[in-house]
Amino acid sequence: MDTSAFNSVWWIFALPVFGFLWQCLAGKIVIDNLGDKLGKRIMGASAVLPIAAAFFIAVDLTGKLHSMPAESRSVVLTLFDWINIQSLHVPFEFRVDALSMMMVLIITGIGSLIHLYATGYMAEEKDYPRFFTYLNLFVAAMLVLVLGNNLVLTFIGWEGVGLCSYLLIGFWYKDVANSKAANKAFIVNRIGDFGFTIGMFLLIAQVTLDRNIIGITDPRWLSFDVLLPHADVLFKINPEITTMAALALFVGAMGKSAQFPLYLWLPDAMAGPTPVSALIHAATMVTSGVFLLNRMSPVFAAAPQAGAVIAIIGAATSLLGALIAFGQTDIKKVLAFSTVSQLGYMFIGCGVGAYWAGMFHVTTHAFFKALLFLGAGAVIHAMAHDQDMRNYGGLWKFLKITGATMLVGWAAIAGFPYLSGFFSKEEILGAAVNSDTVLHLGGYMWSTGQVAGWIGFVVAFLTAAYMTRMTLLTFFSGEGRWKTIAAGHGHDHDHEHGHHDAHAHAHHHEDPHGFFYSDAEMHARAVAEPHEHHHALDSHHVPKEVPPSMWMPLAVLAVLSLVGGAWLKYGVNLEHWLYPGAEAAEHAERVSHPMLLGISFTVFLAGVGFGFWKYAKGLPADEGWDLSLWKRWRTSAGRQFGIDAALTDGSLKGGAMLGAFLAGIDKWLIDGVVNASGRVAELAGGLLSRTQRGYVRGYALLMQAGVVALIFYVIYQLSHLGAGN
Amino acid sequence: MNYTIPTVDWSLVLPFALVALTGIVALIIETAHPKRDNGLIIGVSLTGLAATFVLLLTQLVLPPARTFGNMVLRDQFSVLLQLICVAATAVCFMFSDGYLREKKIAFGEFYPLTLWALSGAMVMVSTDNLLMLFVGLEILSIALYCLAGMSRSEARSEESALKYFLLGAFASAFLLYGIAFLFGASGSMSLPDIQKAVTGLTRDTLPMPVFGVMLVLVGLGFKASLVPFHQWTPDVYQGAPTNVTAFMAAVSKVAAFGALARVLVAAAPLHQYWFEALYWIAIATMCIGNLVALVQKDVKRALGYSSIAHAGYLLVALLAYTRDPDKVSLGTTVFYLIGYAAMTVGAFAVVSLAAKGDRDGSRYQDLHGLYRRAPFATVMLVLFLSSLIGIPPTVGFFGKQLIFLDALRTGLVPLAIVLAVNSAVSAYYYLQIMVAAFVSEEGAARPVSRKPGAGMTIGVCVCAAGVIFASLLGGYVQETTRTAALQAKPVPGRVQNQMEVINR
Amino acid sequence: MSASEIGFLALALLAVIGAAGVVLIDNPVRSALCLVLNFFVLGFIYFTLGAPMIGITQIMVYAGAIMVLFLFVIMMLKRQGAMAKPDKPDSRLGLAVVLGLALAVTVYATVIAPQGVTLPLGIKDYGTPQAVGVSLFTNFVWPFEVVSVLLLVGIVGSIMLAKRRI
Repeated sequence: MDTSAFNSVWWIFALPVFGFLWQCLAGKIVIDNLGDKLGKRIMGASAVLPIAAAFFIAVDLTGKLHSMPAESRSVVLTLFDWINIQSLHVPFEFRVDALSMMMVLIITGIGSLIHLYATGYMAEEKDYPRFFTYLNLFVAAMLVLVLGNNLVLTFIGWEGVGLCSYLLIGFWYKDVANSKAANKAFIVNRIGDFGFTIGMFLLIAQVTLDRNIIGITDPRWLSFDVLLPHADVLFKINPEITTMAALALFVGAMGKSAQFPLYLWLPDAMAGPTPVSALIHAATMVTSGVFLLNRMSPVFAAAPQAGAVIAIIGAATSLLGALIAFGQTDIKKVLAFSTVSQLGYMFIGCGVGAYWAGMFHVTTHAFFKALLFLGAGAVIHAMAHDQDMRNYGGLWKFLKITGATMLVGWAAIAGFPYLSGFFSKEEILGAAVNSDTVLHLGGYMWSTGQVAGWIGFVVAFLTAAYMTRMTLLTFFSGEGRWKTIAAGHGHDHDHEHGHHDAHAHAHHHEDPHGFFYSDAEMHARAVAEPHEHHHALDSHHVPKEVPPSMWMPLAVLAVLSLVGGAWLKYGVNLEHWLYPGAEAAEHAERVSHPMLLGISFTVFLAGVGFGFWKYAKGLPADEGWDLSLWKRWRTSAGRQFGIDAALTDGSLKGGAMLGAFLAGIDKWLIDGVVNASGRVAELAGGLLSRTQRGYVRGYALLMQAGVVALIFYVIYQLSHLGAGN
Repeated sequence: MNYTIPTVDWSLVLPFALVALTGIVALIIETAHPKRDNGLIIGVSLTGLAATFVLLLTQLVLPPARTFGNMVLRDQFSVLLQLICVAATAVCFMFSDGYLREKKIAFGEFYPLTLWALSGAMVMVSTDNLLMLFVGLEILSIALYCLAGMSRSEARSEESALKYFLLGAFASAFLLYGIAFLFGASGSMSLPDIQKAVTGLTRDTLPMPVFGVMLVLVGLGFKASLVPFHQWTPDVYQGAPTNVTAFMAAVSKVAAFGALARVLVAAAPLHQYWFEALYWIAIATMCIGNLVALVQKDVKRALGYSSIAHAGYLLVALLAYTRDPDKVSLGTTVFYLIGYAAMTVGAFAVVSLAAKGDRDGSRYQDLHGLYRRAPFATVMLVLFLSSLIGIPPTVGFFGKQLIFLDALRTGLVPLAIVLAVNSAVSAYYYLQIMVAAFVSEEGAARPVSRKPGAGMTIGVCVCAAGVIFASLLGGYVQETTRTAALQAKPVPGRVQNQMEVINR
Repeated sequence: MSASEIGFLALALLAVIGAAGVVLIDNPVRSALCLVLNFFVLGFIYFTLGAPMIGITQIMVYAGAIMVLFLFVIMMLKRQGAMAKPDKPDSRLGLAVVLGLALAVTVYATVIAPQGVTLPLGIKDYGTPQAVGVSLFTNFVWPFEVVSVLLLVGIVGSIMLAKRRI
């Protein structure tokens, strides 16, 4: 097949790489030489443009793909031969198909919007090029992850995005809390990566063992286009091993996509700048687990037990995230737990076999969650980097554009009928409650798929409620509460939860770390740009609408959140686009379509109604500044029900104990054996050297004894073997 | 009486003649100028050795040949071994002068005697006749008995000479007894003839050649310091002047293993009667050599035990070859001998720097401060000891690796494991020597000894070059000894065939 | 048992007695005289085995010349009776004797007995001076020459060890 038409896919990958190199090599020079304002403008533009260009190339490629017949919509392009050992070739190759292009469009499309937004959001940042260096590198790594045509390349991208995530969470690394958050993210992700590698090696082991049975002769057998068509036979030879491999890969996905219990790192990851939260920790990287499940869907399809586990873990994660969100006062934390909860949805979809629905939700979630994060970022920006919703209220008056777009986001995530979130959620839950995914455990069959579906509806109610809470507390419900800060409950907030954004923190106090401009530098900038003036949030604060570079992405995302779902479902026919030929497998519906619609409406209305009933009048006293008035369950939710502390402390203390135990073994047993062997050798040497007294007659006697021994040995051999020959 | 004078190809004996004649010339110079310094003698000797070396190099490419009624055999194996002996002797000469002066025993006779000892070694390796083998062995041994006792002011030197002589005579008796048995069994002293004669013996006639082989192995095993015929080694290595020790360690070992290889190849038809015995001897030699070396307090003694251990490694290589000559090459033995000669002579050369006045000073603490006095030589000592341990870029590593692989290929897995473990054990005492050389001297009680002379530096450099670059020769040596029609190849005995049956 | 066998055994017994005397007698002169006996008897054995040339050489060179030198040196050193004896008999002497006997018995039982003790038939002209001479100048000319180096080593080595007292 002629693949030359798709060669431009290399540009999609190369442009962010060039951007990365340009930012890291030239960034500081440009800004130092051209002045702060012009330099930043140039660097900002040169950070956005490669991603935007990549997006347009991706659109073009998707068009080409669309014009091809459905069954041949998969193109493999090889750049060079990477690993080449006798029976295994792993080339550096990209795969252009519906799934990968969908992810590419999300990454580059939403990525370019967020880059644009970040040029405004990070304008006061000294390390401006460093930020875009990481961000461009992240895009490049993410593209390798989704475009790679074999698990090894996917793993490279997987590690690359993990690295960038670590670097960006710890972007303000001089604050120890941020560094700790970055470490936490990295370490928790290592656990997942370990699972990924185990799964990968289990698959490789299976292929190498059974390759000949199947008859795969192509040495590129790690490549998806060679491996996956054989999956339905190959991975059913040893179903137990396949299940183990699938679960191991799911552990990898759990790490990246923040599933229980590896979700711990995602809330802490909010320590990074808000555009990072929007791009990496909401729209793209955290969905790579879902992407992996889709990519490897033939493997998971061969392991239905693994699917059942995935569905129930997804449901548990989704319920947990939604409950915890009620206890959060930090606007970004609410969104973070909402992300955890929504990711749970995606895994419910994948677990019950509706992989395309998972991807559908990935896409719509990318729209509305990026929108919500960016909107939250705009609010934070306007509120002098304060993130506590208790200090907001009545912002609608000041932030009309932000408010309007945020309302769209709220409607989309809460499941307002016929907006994007509504469709994808309904597809997932419909598939779940109609599924026959069962888990065989302890001699019983557990219908985890259906259970997950019904939990999903509960979570939909909770989602509508807590999103209403967030929206009302921020934009409506009374006058601005920051005006009462002087009254005495402003600054002591959230210390125990560690909800500080370092950004905000730095502006409350003197900036001790040098990430931001000093007073003298600020003064110089104020002369150049008189309207850019920052001060801490106080009772005289007047929120101001954000600049166009920040609200324009919001507008675009708002439009996508409004119509994206409908367009994907009816315009694109996503299920057919992603999995052509899969619709044939219809199964009996337990819960009919209209019934589902009814439930969805009801749940939405109930959730929103509850939210209005509770928060329309303003901040309830039982979740105000005085924590002693909080209800117990809410305090507990604020602390993540102690799960985070238990797991973290448990693993730290357990690790320390294990380390001490192993150190003891090392010291007493291993060292003991080593030292003892040395001693024994020396002792033996000493004893043997005793035989050497220095007397010639002794030496001669030993020689004679040796001769006699040899002769006797010979006699034995002669009598034993006889004359040979 | 009818007889025919055998035709003679003089080129085959020319290297031997050159060395022996150089010795005679050196002796004449000493006689003419008894009290002069030995510069001229050394010059003549080195020139003669250089000429011999070049001559041998030109013979390396020649096809195998025999002359003097099959008493002299030249093949690639013999030429390579002679090259090692000649080079090792030359290096010993380079560093001897300064050492002998320091000890005030700068006798001119040292050089001719050493040259003749070398000629004996050359006779030993370039023959497959037991008579010539014995004559060569005796020339080598008697010269060494005298040389070991050269430092007459030291009781230890005299003692070592006497011990060496008595035990050497004892071993020679066994060797002769064995030769007599083999002659009795086959009517010939030529190894190929013996090999032919011992295939197809009856139950009654079999014991005689088997006993003969065993007793010959005892005699050669003494020379090669195999357990239990090893006990002279540390005493003599320690007592003899260090330059003699270096010569003894290198040349005598090469000659012994050259002869051992020939005898074992000829005795291969009787494989099943001796193989297991040598198998256990190899294990015992490796283990005892290394274990006893651990507790030594004297560098030369430790190196003596190390020499025993290396004899064990070499025996493994030989055993692998006789077990399956198609799979492995005798080149492994040759290659290891090249490396062994380079690193041992180099190590002893540097250790000889520790001598002060008429004391030999070879305890570990006598090496203290060596780095301060002779930094280059000490660094080279580290190189040689690393090679003796078997640390990768050195020839010691590649040699051991080849032996290890040979042992694995021929199914001698236990030997390979024992070898590897022993290599690890040996690191301990070699490192002790290294450490001793770098510890600074405590107090200034001992007089500052001489700086290394130019001869020492050149000699050490030659050895270092050997240790570093000899590994490049590995493939060549393997190939040469494989393709050369050495002599009748070993015919594996019946035990092996049985094993093959079992394996099937 | 034939007469020649009886003769051989008698001579062999004498040779062993002589050899034992060399080792066991403390007086060096007597010890040396025992060696003379041994050398002589060996010479006779060579004659009986049909090797007259070796026999003559043995008697002339060893029993004659070399023994004269031995005795000469012993007399010169005036050390009769002062030979150092070990302070106490070495307990391992017995072990050595046992091992030696074991070796002898084994060799006899395994090697010699199965083949039967036979004396060589006198091959014509086997050990005559002519035959030895021809051998030395044809097939064995090279060892014959190489041994000269051995002798040279012996001479030079002994001079080096003896000439200077430092």
